[in-house]
Amino acid sequence: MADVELTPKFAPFFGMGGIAFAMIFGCMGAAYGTAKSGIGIAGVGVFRPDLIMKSLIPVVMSGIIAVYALVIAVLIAGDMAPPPGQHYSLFTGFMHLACGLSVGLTGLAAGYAIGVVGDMGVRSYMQQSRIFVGMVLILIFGEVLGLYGYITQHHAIQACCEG
Amino acid sequence: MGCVAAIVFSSFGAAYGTAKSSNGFFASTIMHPELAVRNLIPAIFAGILAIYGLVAAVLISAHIRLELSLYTSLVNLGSGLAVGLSCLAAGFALGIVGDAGTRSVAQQPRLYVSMVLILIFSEVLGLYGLIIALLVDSKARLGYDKCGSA
Repeated sequence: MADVELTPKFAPFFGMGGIAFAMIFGCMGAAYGTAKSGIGIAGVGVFRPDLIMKSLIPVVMSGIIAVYALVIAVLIAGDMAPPPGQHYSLFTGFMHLACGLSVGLTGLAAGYAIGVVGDMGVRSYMQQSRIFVGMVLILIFGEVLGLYGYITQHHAIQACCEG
Repeated sequence: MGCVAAIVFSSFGAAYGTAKSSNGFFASTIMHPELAVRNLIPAIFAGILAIYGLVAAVLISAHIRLELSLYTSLVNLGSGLAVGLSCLAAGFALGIVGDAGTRSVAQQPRLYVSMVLILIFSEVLGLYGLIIALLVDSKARLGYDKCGSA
């Protein structure tokens, strides 16, 4: 039987907090990325409208950051159920809180990087078309920050919380 | 929480490093596109900082189990904070150095070697944090039997 000391009543608070943090910070990062690079794209579109479609890449990558956060939040929410169906231990609660915080805050970091890089990058792409490859390369470096957070936490959830 | 600290703070550092040095990369490549590949070096170094955090986070998460002595968990927190915050610091340094360095290399190509030297000095800040985290992490195994037979 589950040890009552290990499954206190306030344990789901941390799990729900993990879900909240994942979505909140992930979306904050994606919003900053979209907004900052959107400013650059708006500037580019005035002078070179033919470059707009290729300049939308930073915006797409910011959206992917939000998707990472969404997937982790859904994974955590799938592990939670009201008391009769689920004995939710404090360990699981902390694990979910840590996963949500990690994915959310790394998403925030990645979104910040993508925003700054996207803004400056599309403005420079307007003047020098050879810059495109370099811009995409640096955007990918920024994207993998969010990916690292997602991978470590996805693995942690799958490996540690099947009980 | 140590796992969280490791990956989160090193990601912040890597993000700042990537963002700030890419400003310089774009500014310099407009006028000198032949320097583009060489000027990507600061962004690559910033990405390596995130890998340090990832390695430490994976190592720390291997120690997590249901019954964990306070010793082991505090050791994990310490190693996570060590690598995370030192990578944050290294990322700040890399960003500012990369930004100024790439802009200067566009005007004076002989500065490239010294820029890379300074970037390496900034990168080892994060490396020291990773070394300490690994060292401390190896001590975490001493706490496994302290939990008793509870």
